[in-house]
Amino acid sequence: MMEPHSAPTPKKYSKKPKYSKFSQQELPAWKPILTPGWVISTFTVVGIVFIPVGLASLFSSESVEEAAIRYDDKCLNEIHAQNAVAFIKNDMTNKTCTTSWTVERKMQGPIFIYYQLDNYYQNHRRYVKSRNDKQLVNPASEGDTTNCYPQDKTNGSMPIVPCGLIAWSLFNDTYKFWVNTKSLTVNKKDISWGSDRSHKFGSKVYPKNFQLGGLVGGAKLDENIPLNQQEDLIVWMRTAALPSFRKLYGKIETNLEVNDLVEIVIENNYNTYEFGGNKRLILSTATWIGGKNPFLGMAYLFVGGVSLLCAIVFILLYVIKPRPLGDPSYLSWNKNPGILK
Amino acid sequence: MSQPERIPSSRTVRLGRVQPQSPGHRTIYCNDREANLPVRFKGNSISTTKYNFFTFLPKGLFEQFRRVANLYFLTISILSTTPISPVSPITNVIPLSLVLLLSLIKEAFEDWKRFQNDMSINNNMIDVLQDQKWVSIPWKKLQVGDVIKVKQDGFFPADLLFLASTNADGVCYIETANLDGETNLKIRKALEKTWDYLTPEKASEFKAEVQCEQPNNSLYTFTGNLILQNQTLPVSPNQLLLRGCSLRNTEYIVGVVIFTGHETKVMMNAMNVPSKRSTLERKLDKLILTLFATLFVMCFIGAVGSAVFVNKKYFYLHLESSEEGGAQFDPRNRFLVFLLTMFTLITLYSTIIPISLYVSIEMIKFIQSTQFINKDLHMYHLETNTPALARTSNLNEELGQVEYIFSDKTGTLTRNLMEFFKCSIGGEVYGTGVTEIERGIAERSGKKIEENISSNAVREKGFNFDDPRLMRGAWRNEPNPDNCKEFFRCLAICHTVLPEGDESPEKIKYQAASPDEAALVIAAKNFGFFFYRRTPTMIYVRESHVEKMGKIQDVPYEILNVLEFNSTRKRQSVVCRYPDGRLVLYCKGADTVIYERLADGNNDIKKVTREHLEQFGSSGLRTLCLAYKELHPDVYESWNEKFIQAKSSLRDRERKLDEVAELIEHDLILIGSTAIEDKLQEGVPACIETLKRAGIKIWVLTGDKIETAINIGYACNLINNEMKQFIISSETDAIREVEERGDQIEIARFMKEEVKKELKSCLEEAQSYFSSLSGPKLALVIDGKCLMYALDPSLRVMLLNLSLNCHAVVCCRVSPLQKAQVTSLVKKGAQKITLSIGDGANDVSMIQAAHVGVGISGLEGMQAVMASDFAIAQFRYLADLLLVHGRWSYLRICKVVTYFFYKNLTFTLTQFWFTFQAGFSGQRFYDDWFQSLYNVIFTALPVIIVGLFDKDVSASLSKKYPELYMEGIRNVFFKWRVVAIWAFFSLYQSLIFYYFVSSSSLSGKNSAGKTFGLWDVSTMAFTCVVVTVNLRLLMICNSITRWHYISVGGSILAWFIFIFLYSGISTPYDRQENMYFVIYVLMSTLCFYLTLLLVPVAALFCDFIYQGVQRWFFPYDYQIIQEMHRHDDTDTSRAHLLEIGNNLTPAEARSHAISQLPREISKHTGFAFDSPGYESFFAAQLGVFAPTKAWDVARRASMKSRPKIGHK
Repeated sequence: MMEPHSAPTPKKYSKKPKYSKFSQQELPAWKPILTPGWVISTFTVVGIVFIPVGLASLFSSESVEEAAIRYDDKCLNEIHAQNAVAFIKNDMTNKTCTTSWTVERKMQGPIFIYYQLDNYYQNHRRYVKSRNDKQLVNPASEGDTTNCYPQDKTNGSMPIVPCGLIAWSLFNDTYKFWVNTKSLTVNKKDISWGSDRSHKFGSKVYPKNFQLGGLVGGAKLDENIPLNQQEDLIVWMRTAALPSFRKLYGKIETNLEVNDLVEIVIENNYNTYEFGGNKRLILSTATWIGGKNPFLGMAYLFVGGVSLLCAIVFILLYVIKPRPLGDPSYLSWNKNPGILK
Repeated sequence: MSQPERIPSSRTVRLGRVQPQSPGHRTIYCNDREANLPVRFKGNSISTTKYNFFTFLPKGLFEQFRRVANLYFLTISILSTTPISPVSPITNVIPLSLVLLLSLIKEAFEDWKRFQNDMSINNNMIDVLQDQKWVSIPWKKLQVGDVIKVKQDGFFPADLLFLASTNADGVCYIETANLDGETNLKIRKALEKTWDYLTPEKASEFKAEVQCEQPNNSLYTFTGNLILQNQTLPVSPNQLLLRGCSLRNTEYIVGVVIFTGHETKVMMNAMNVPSKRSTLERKLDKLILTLFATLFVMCFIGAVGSAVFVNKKYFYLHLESSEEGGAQFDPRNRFLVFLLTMFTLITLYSTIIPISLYVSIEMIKFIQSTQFINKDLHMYHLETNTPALARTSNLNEELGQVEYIFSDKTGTLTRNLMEFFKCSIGGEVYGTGVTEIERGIAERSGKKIEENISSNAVREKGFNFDDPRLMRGAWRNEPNPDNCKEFFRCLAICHTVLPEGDESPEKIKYQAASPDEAALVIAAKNFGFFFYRRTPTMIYVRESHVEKMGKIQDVPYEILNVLEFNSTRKRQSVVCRYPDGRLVLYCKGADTVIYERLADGNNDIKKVTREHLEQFGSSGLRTLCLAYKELHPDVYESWNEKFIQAKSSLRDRERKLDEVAELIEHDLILIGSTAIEDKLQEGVPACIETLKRAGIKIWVLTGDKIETAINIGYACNLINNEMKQFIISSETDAIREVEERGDQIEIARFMKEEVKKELKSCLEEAQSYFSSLSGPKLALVIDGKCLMYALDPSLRVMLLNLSLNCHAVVCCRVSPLQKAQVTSLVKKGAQKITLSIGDGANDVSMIQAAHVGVGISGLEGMQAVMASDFAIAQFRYLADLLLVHGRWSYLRICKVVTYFFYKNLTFTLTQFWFTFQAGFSGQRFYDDWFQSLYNVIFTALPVIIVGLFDKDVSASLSKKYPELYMEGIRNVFFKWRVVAIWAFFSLYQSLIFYYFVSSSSLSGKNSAGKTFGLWDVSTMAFTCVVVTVNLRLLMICNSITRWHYISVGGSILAWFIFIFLYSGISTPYDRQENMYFVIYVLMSTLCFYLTLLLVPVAALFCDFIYQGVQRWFFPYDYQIIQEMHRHDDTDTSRAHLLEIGNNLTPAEARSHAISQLPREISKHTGFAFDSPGYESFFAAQLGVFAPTKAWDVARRASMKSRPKIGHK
């Protein structure tokens, strides 16, 4: 824009820009150069740090005893195997199933009992949003069933508490354990994260109209126990990230000795046959990194190992094909003078 | 307000109203507001704002949504309010509103500044005549027809018709610096009839009518008539005082307002420069399109997956039940599932398009231009007090990729500082000086030139001449003293120079239109013909030694007519009356036009003078021929009538004046010629050498003669003897022969054939050189006439091929239009990035045509600067502008763009991988707020810091190794290969993020055996992404300042602060419950820390290997330079190198230039002088707004030759 009238200022003032490190682009700076020294030492440092961490992780992961028992197939006898879905949907059939497992290594208590589902999409968009957190925490909002369709209201238009597909499809297999014919107590307290219990599920909210509809998706809830004590529900409702997931079922506080024969009585209620999912029962101890998780340690070891390998390879490369640092003959216009033409 | 009783008297003068008015005129009733009322002239207030209070929001938003990216995000935001969206609207609305808010604030701020500026201008006070008194009113209240008084040093508030001044003879002096940048004073003269209307009493009696042209933007033309007391008086630009100028050396003037406000010529000129977009940005558009394609492919895959996935067997999902939007998963209609999921995924993956990219780049470029370029002390010119100025911030990175520079010569390469150097009078050469070029030639041939500057030689600016045969009256003893006398008188009389200051030879200052003129008048002064006073009708010359040695007398010459210089006439004449009544016409001009108009006879002198002209020309001097003619009073009188007639004509006045001038400018007698040295700008040869090393090809486009141009080419290092020169000139015998015959059609046909033949042979030769590796460098010299034919579509390709093989191209005798054509030939034909640099009005078209236009701000007019994108004070600053700022900007913007690409792709891909494991349902992996703040908070600032501070090598090294610039020309840093590498690492990293984090999610995560849910896993992944992406940024930095640490650390910290707060508070809002306590849960597990250490290292591992290998085995040039100078202490080395790189003294530069000069005497026959400097002053804006068509060039050329034919 040309606007000439802004000039009635005094004529002879200097337009010389003021010096500042910023505007002259002279800010002090660290100018790292990725020299072979840097590359090799970085790799070495990573290797040196990662390998011990990896070893520690792997060691502690290996110290975890874990047993996985797939039972969805075992608990179908040959007659029902042909028509598993009808079997599981039929309330009349006897779904109790017994299996046994011998302890291979000593398991130090507490032993955590998980159930693992495969090919179960708790992370489906339809599923994830099918809940109402307000309703779960606040008794006053029990009528709020937004997002919960089709498990929002009963036929009589009574709000379902807890509403939504997640609660509706609550896992309902149960496990009982006998060691050497002695029953093991399964502690089902404190299997959910404390923050869920204290803030996401209300102590004054009780299940209402739950699983009354025609189709029963899963477990029923005791209407006399407030939601924040329904830990199975709380665990279930912390939806899993992947279609294969484990959820904590309970704890066995005693130790299991080698060669103990554990008899497990499973109530095989939950319908995974329809969508071809698997069910597993996991018994696992835990250490400071949690349950058995060899991946972390392996990854650390791998990265650390490759790192050291890279360090060696780079050293060799630099020996085989050395390049003096800052050699002007490597400049493109010196290598190929014709480039200026 | 005019008083009622005076209305009748004014009515009587209104002659114009009876006549039918042609629509091309406006009629103004002076000093009569009521009479002007019906016409509704525009007011005098101006507004340069884009918006007002009410239009700001709608118009500003509209402007914003004209950007495709913003429109895209608006669409996404609207989509995200529908149930098919997996994300809540905030995901897209927040970044969009932040981006819009930022842009709108910037717009508002700029507009507010414009508004304040307007206000202060509109409220300036001015004295206007009311009730026989001067009343002070603000400018904005001024109306057409008002009579006003402007005091000394005041600005003219509108375009005024000059009536009277306090100076004798009704003249005033104005400064037009604001208009065209010229600081010399111009003289304006009122019509004699209006001289008296000076006092308020008298002025209130002024009742007249002005008929004049409609408002237009031509600063130097004006036609109109003043009808005063039944007399029609022609009005010319001489009586027009333009808004924007100021009054000097005059107590006050009185004038009538003719044009107001936006209709003033200066405002009509205030056009917005058409905004240019950089090439990189256009490439960026392609990248964005690619991203769109990627987005589409991703969505397509996801949508197909979803359509296949949906199945009634997942009973717990209730897929078939239809709630609002529930049909999306209905397995009974898989096509609908596909369609709806497509939209769902588009909203989900919208982050692949970096929304904040454009606003970030804009911010970076704005700071780069306002803080770095405008404030660079290396580009500040002390003498003219001019810093560099980036007039647009769009093109910073374009400066880093320029491959072709088109440069004007005069004022750009040369100083436009003219010094009278030699002359030829009556066939005798005077002047002992040796030009740089001559000295260079001599030194090459082994001769040593002893320069004995006599101690009493006169030295002053504009005069670098010594010859005892002429100085101090010695000319009287020369063979032809009369000739000398005429020569000096011609110099002293035939010009349009204004003397200023004290009337003594030492103190006087000459204000001249061009420095040549000033040099000539100064020369006359030093020869003893001291021009010391000018009135509108008289020129006073203090002549020494005329009658006899030592006698000094003041001689007044009456100036009867001035036939001004313009680009078609190429000459200037003055008709003057000696005190004894003798009438003489003095003429000076280009040799071609003068020789055509010489009287027969005196062939010896003509021939010798021509030889001298050639000599001067080959020495790089600018020549002018002087001639005179005695006039018979009768002949003069009859001619003068025609002249006056032409002068008062309203239409085609210019052309008619030219025709009338033609009638008298013939049968001239040659006096001699002058030779003026055109000094090179400081540091030009060094700068050109540097730019050439940078791989930039420099073309000089000049209006000069071919020989002058070649000489300047040598002088400034563009051409040297090792180069093979191709010269395509129209000055061949064959062409001249055809031209003699005068058949225009034949000339055109013949020329075209010749040019074609020349081009063909040159091209063949060039290609033969090119195929052999050791061939010489090539230079092409072509003149304007040949160029006109070479630019013909049939020959254009050949011209382009030839010129692209040449390292230097000199186009001489080119019109402004051709300059633009040549520029766009390379720009469009070769798809190379071009830069035009020039200083005058004749460069405007070229500046606008190129990718980057650079104007030289300083001495000459402002028009080039007004049209330019960057303005610098000196040609040599081009090295800083391109090699330092341009290269850095390019580097930085490349990094910013590729980094943006990388970070958004990485982020979106993790989301994409999740889609595969979430039943293709379009479930979001991350919380809405994570996604929306990712671009605008967690990764926004560091990349801007890189865009501002990253530098590979220091400024001085950039200039020391100009070859580094070639990386920009080859676009090394923003090729598809680079993008592909980034994309590869994005892919790799996203896989690491997703699978490393999710694969360990199965088992219990703490010693209490508890497991993670979706939001725990995603928060962990997101933390890894934020940390890694920010660390990756540090890996692309070449220099890491404290701001890097602050911004990178701050961004990561911002994420943690955010997540601590966000998951720490529990609000009743939807979805936020998901995140409740998540980070605390995560942080209570060791697994989180182990992952946080592992994942970024693993993700950056490959990048690091790549960088290590790349640097060691395939290093970029800049990396080698970094290594070479790794131990340099930055500050000392900079200061040291600076002296080498930048502050080459003129002497050093010259000596360098001289060493490049040709070995033997060149056969240049430079006899013409044709100064673009003149053209720019007289603003023959030839071609600036003309359509760029070939026929137009031809028409122009034929127009030029027409008078010549008519004359013969």
